[in-house]
Amino acid sequence: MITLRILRALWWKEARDHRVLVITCALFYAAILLGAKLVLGDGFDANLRVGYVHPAGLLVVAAALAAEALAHDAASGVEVTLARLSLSRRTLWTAKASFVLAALAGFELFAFALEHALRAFEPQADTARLAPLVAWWFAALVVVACVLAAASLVRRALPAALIGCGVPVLLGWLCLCSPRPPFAGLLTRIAVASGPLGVACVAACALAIASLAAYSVARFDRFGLRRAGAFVLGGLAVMIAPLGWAVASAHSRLALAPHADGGNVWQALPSPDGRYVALVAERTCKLDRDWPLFSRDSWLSSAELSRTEVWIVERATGACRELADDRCRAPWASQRRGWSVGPWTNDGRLLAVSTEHGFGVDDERFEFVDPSEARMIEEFGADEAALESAAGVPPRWYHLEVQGDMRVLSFADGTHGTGVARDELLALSPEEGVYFVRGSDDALLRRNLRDGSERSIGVAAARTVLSPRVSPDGRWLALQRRDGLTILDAHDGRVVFGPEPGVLVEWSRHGRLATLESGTAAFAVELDGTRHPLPRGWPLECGSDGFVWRLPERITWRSLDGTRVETVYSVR
Amino acid sequence: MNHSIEVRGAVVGFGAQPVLAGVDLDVPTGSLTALLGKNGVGKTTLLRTLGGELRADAGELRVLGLDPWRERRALARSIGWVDERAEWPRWMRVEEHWRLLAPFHPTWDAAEARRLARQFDVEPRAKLAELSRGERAVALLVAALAHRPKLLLLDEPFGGLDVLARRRVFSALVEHLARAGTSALFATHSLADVERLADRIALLVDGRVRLAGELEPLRADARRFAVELGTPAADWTPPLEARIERRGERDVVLCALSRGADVEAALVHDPRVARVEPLARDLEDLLAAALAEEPSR
Repeated sequence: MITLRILRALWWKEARDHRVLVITCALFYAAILLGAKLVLGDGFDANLRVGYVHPAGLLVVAAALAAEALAHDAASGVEVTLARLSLSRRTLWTAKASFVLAALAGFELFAFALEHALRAFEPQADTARLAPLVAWWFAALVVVACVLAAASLVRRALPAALIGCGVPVLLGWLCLCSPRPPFAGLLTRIAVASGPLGVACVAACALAIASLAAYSVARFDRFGLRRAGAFVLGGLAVMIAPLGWAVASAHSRLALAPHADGGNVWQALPSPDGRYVALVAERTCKLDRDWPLFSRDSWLSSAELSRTEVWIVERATGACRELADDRCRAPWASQRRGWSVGPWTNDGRLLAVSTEHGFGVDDERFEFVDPSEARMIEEFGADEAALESAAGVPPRWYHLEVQGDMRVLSFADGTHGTGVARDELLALSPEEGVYFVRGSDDALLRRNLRDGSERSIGVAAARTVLSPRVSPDGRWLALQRRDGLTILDAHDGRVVFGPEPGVLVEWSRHGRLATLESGTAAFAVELDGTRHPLPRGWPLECGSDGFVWRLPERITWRSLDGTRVETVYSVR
Repeated sequence: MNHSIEVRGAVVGFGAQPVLAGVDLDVPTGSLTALLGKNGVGKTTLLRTLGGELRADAGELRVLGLDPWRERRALARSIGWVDERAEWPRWMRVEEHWRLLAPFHPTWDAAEARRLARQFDVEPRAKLAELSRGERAVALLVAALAHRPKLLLLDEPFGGLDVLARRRVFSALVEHLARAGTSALFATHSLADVERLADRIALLVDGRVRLAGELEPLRADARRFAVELGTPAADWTPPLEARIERRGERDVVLCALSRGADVEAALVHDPRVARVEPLARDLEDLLAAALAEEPSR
């Protein structure tokens, strides 16, 4: 009972000692958030706040509070006076440590309330990232508590801070601040080994800075805010350093900022409904002499100094989500060596991607992606139930397997369709089992492997046809010949367009538009012959009601009539 | 006689050179003992050692029957400590100081604290940091007395008090200590404080207690004389251990501790002494005689 009363009295003293600091920290944090929101707007999104600003702010506050608890009484001489009381060192430090933790919990509540208020009018954060972040915060708190406990074993606070933090401070400072770490091998291992360790380094660094600041300003203690100002300066020094490692945030457009120099978008594929654009981007590492930069989330740019990644961009909001697959996230050399984006399902609810895991041909793997969450759903054919939950009608995967002189329709579940004679394959139709071949009489044949049917669609001299391409809905067939482009009904061969001079670039996803390049002009045509001139530029791809341009650092969307042009995505 | 403090051969040092080099000291229960000595002689070190803040390198120390180092937490509940160098948070008010101290002392008496504050003219709402040096010392004294300590350790606490305040505080303090039966050991340079407060003194010289005992008998033991010589005074040496205060051409003023001997007779019997005149004596004479920096034997 006596101990409880003593703890309560010491708590009260600590609260009175540090209330100005705690309140100032909270107000300053709120000012940072609101100011950044006003200046950066949507760029200062929930993920950036929760993924970086919040943990960094918490660490700075933790460091400041811990250092104050350590240093304040020691620097002012109160520690000596307290030692004259009937008070064990264990009780004293228990009170200090528990006060620091309670104050941090209060700060957390305040920060969460602030975050909750901000989220009322902006997109939600990527919740999948929150759990590890929370673990980081707790790791930071544990570090602070451990330092406090260690400090209780030595006589004075400053030696405690130095003894407890000396080595991690050195390593952490080098990791964070030095562009060319002298012990790059060791430091790189530390930096990429785990998140909490990195956070611990930051926490230790901040603690040491704040501790030194507390000592240096102790003699100017008349005005509490002055001391808090010193912590703010120290904290800013800690917070600014890792900004180059900004978390690859799902919502954040700052995600690619550190890699802007080497960013490139290789492939852009709009979904049939136009809501999303899938991007295959390559980041090449910004070289600084011999050392690559590495990101804070443990992704090195890769051993080859570049890595490929897939992003899903939501056109309406511009939100970018990096395709996440935690199963394959490993530091240093990712097992995944390359990506390519396959087709969208016709309802736009799933995207197929292929990934290469090794150097062999058989190391390629196909997977489905849910664009709304930007995460892997399942490998093809492995669990259709999982796919069914994401899409109303689960897609079926099949391919044409060559068996001797026969071509056989094979499904992912191991079943096979009818086999037919092996002919020259010209095009596959999205319609299951349908493909087009050049027949022995030089006619264009339409075959259906499900029922074994075959019929000519009335196109002669099929040998002159170059690269026939079936529209995404399977209804139309675009034939490229020397006289230009002709579009036929894929079922009966009825000509609906052309021949017109030009080269087919892409079908629109709903099959009613095609983009053509003719000479130096580019235009989109509708099947009734209506033409929509397009500006010159890089090759174009169709959306549903507009077009998507792919430029090295920008993806834009343009309406059919050209009245609306939107930047869907930009690499900054 | 019961003793609140018993020290035998205490050695305390901060390096190779000990500050206390074998202190022997007894402080009887209920006494007010003044600890005297030059600057740096070790008065504060002795008080810190007795309070359990420093560990003695050698010797045997008992304070209220406890080992002050090993049992310092138990001891801390029973002693009051007033030290003008004690630091408390700048925001702390007098009553907040009481609030912080109360849980540490099971015998804390809040009503007594208020009564003492009135008696010593201390404002409970005043901030400790905004009080003058003397006011702060009195405020700390009130806090030290409010838990009814058995022993009070005071380290030069009243230097900042004006004459009137000092009179008021001293009379209240003496009355309170007498009523409560509290022992006190206070280090001071002020002989006036000793005269008003102490019933015993202990004089530290060169890390040892050279003189200790009840004040009045010791004061009576100190003798001071004006001596007229028949020969030049420059080469005259007194026939006993004494401190020469002033040396003229043919006259000398000296003081000495009689220690039972007849100092006047010894001087009269010196063939070079023409005349001996006893002078008035005070506490300063006693200390001067005891310190005897340059024994002129």
